Amino acid sequence: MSAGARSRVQLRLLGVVLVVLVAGLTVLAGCVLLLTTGADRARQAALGQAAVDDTTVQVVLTDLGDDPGPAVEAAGGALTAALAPVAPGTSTWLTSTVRDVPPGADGGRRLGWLAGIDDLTARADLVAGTWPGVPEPGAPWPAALPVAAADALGLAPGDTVVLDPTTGLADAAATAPVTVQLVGLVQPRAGAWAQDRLAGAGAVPDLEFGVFGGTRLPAAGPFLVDPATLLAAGPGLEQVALVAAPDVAAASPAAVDRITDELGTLTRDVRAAVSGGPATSRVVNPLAATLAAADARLATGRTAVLAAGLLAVLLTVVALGTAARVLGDRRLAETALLRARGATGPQLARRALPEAALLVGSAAVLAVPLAVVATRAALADRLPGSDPGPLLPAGLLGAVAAGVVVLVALLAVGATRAATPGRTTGRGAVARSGADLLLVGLAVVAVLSLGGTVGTDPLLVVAPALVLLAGCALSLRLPPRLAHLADRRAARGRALAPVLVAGDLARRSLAGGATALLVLATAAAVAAGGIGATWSVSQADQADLRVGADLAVPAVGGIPGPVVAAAGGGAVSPVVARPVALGSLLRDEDGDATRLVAVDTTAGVLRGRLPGTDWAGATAGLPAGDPEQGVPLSGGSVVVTGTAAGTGLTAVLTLVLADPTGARTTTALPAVPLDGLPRSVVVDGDGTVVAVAVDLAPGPDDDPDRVARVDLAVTLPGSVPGWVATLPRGQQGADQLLSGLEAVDGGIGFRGRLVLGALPPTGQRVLLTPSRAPDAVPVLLSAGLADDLGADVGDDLSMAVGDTGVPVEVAGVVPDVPSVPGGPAVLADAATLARVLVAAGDLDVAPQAWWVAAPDPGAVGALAAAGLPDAVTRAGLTADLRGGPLAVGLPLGLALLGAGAVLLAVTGSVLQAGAVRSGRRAEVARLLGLGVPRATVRAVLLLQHGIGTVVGVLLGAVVGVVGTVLVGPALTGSPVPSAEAQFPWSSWTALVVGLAVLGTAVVLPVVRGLLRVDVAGALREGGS
Amino acid sequence: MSPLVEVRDVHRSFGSGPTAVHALRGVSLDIAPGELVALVGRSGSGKTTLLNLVGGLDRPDAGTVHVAGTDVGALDDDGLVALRRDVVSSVFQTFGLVPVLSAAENVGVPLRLRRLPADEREQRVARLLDLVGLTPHATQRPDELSGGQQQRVALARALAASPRLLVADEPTGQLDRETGLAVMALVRGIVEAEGVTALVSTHDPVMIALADRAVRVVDGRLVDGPAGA
Repeated sequence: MSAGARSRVQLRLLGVVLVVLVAGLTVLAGCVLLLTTGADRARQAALGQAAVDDTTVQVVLTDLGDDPGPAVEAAGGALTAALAPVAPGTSTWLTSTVRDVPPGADGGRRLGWLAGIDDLTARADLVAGTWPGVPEPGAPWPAALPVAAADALGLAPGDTVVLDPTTGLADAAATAPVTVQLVGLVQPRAGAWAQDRLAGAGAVPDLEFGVFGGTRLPAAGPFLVDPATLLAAGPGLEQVALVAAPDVAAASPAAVDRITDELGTLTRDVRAAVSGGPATSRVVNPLAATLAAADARLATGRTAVLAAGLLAVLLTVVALGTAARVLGDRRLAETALLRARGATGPQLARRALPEAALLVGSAAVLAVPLAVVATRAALADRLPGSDPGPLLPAGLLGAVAAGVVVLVALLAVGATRAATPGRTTGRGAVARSGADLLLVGLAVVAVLSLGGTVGTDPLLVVAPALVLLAGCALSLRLPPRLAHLADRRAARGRALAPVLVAGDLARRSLAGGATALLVLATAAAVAAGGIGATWSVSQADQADLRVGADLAVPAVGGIPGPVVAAAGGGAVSPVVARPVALGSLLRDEDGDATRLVAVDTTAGVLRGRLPGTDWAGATAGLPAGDPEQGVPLSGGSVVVTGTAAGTGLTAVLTLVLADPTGARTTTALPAVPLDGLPRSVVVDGDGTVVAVAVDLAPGPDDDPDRVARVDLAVTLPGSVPGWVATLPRGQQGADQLLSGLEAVDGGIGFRGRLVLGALPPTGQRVLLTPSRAPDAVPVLLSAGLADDLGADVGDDLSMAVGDTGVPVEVAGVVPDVPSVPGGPAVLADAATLARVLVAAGDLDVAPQAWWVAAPDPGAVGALAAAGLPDAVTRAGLTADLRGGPLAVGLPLGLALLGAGAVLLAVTGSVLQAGAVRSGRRAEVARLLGLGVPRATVRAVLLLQHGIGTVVGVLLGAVVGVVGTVLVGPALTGSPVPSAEAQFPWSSWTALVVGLAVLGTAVVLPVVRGLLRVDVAGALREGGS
Repeated sequence: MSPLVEVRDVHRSFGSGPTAVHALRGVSLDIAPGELVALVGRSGSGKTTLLNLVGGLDRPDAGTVHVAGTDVGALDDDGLVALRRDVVSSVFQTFGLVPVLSAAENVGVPLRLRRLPADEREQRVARLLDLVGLTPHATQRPDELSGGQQQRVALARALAASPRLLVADEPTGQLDRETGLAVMALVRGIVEAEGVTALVSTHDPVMIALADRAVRVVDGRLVDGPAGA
């Protein structure tokens, strides 16, 4: 029979081989596409979605000396060179030192400054007049002002202003006054004035000024002048910012790669470029950080895709080996004949080469477009608007070509080798050789070496394949043993079917390859699902920990808690989030400052994975002391009655008000003389009074030698139980300054003896609170911080919150504190912290953020409308992490692997069924001829195939679950918190049942056909 | 004594139209109980077709085949299976052993079909293997046995269920002369020892000589006498 005629006869089997090849090559090509154009598109889309500030590069030059021009030019050259592959979009922003502008109507001192922006027209809109131009020689410099600045300074176009060097600055003497004439008014565009001293606000009443910012004065500006003129003026230039905003999203992948490399050395390059002059350079490089972060996340995806691709290749090889073996069995007689006539193995392989090449080539022709279409469709859905890139990238063609060569060789050789018929020992060739144990050993080493691997780690790429392969090899030891047990049991029974089924499973060697394929493919599909679930949950875990709550929004604009609660819905907690120093530790080894996070731990807002407990349980011990019973105050007034006979003492009361969310604000009341008269003071604010701070200040004529008896009572509406009066904790000598301090009975007030002569200029503070504050704040430490401090539960530490020392007691250690993933952090109860801070005289406990539990669906929009535009939800962040451009590799790679594995598993069953069809015709005829009922024969055939399939699928599932546990967390590349293996039982069950049913079902038509066999004819033919 | 096998004017064709092959054309044959009948004829003469009809593996187009009083042509599939299980045992030209079963297990197949207790089955299998001289090879699988040994296993299996009729299609066709002689002697011995009726197709003069009578098939018709076989 010619090769062509033979192929036609075996068309169905060759069709199965083609399906195997197409499936394998499609997954391989899909993985390559994800690694090449997919990764490029993902990065491009991510850069396109990045905030403008995250894709800029800024070189800031200071200490410019008298002639800053050369340094600016050199630095600009270095910056442009680094960004050469794309249009750098550089703008230069020159800022002068602060200068005095003429006093206003009140005669007070005012500050201003000059700025030169070379792309001013792109950063501001002209509201009135003209843009500033180049000054005529000797004439005032044309200048424009932001509208707000002009309003603050009372200037209008046409006015002339002299900006004098500001007194008190070191270079003031070398700086000449500059006279400018206002020619225009501009309105700064939002987000385009990051380099401005006031970020485009135009004016502030209290610009920090002076060497240490100790002076605050009204300021307005900048006076926008011609940048070249300002640069040429030399002295008086405070800094020059060269800002590049390259459109990296539009750049080619190669260009972005080059920029990434160049930005790595930009600081050094700029420093070298300006080294000839006096200038000091600083590079602010958010773009490099953005690119690095993108590359890090892409590396995780790349590892997963490579691992998936490797598994796909492995599966394809096993599947093809099995198919080739079945093919070889089908051609056993022909091969035997050729061998009998002297044909050698290589000769037979060469003879099979054209057919193999045709098959693999056809598969490649089908697989490549299939992979291109599938990946493009998937990427277009997830990366809309990104450039699809080349249709057939070189990497794809290379990988497919290599795959074709390998597969052709495999198929050509395999198809000339049949399964060796004969007795099996219950252990496959792999097991007999001990290779399975070797594989297990390698897998164990690989898994143990996985800890701490990040990025594209070859070990991480290989480990999944190694683990699944080892598991598969090891698990294949089991079926023969079980079959032999069943065989022995069946042999002792009466019935025929069990002995036929068990005998077949225990002794037929042909089933080994197909079972191995079934186990490995099922394991790969299960592992793909498990790793995918692990990754997906880990993204949610990261989002939970990063946000800290269901919704977090920075507290800006003094918007009160009730407004936040109304807009956000659900439980709301104010959050104090500040850097602190704990013990002697300011920063950890990575340079991260310790963060204090104080929330209402009873509000149930905390989110983030906690092993073995939940946040309610973990924070149960953080609120200390009895709940504080404040006095509700809704507007109105308080009455202050103070007596300090014979003195001019005054008292300034500051009320600490808590709103229903627990957020605290302070309201300072006007000074009240302690003259024995009741003073009614109007309070501007609502809430519950939880503390009153009384600052006693001496009168101008008070006798310093006198000790005055001070009595003070505060009357609030309603009945008030007795409050306690204390001096600020930690204030040295306070009890001698104000001795005999005691609270009044049944109200809010105190009495004591004050030594007037010892009273500092800032006065003496007395704190009135409903109850005594706890001595220390119970806190939870992040595990890393506890390690760094060597702290354990029960330890007492000192925490510096701003200038206030707060004793803390370690109540527990948690892996991470919400909102501070991986960083050193302290978690406290906000109310307890506030009470202890107040007890120390620190009333500043305004929240830095609001956290909301179970927010309303429209909370983000409602908060934005309420003036809180930067709300982040963990659901939203989870969606970003799961569906963002940089997350595209891992899920798609796993999806490709899963689909390919399922297809190959089913193909394995089809091959096995095909083997049944070709090998059992004579056997069925013999059984029927012996009088075995058709129903028995049907049952035997179905059980033989079905049990093999079910056992194979179940073993594969076990191996897949083990693989998920061993390599899933590492493969997801989740930093903090580390991923935990997930077990998607429902989808796994559906997969396993589906594979088992489908794998068994494929033999049904085969069995039906076999039972229609012409018994007499088949018996006469004898063999298959 | 009524014949165990009654074949009356049986016709059997394969295919249709001008290419139809008329394998049997009006064959009639009686075989008495305990009789060993040799069926001789050239290849393609219709021997195997007649054996298949008598053995319940096929149905006639016309005429009747009665085996132990049962009209084979009137049986449905289940009836044919029952006939093959309970009345007729066949020894196939290609042995027809189940490859994954050992020699003993192959012999025990008919006994398992009757759900004989394991002890009884094993005793009978042992006796049959002893009868065919294969006790030392009981645990070997067919591919580990020689052709003659496989044929003897097939004979033992055919006799396991104590059939009333043994149908053997060229049982020595694939054996060397020495082995063939042994198998033929075995068949003769079994017929005499077990009281089995046997219809054996063969080309072998020795086998023909061992038969009680020989029936010759020529172009689908029976011709008396062994001559010219």
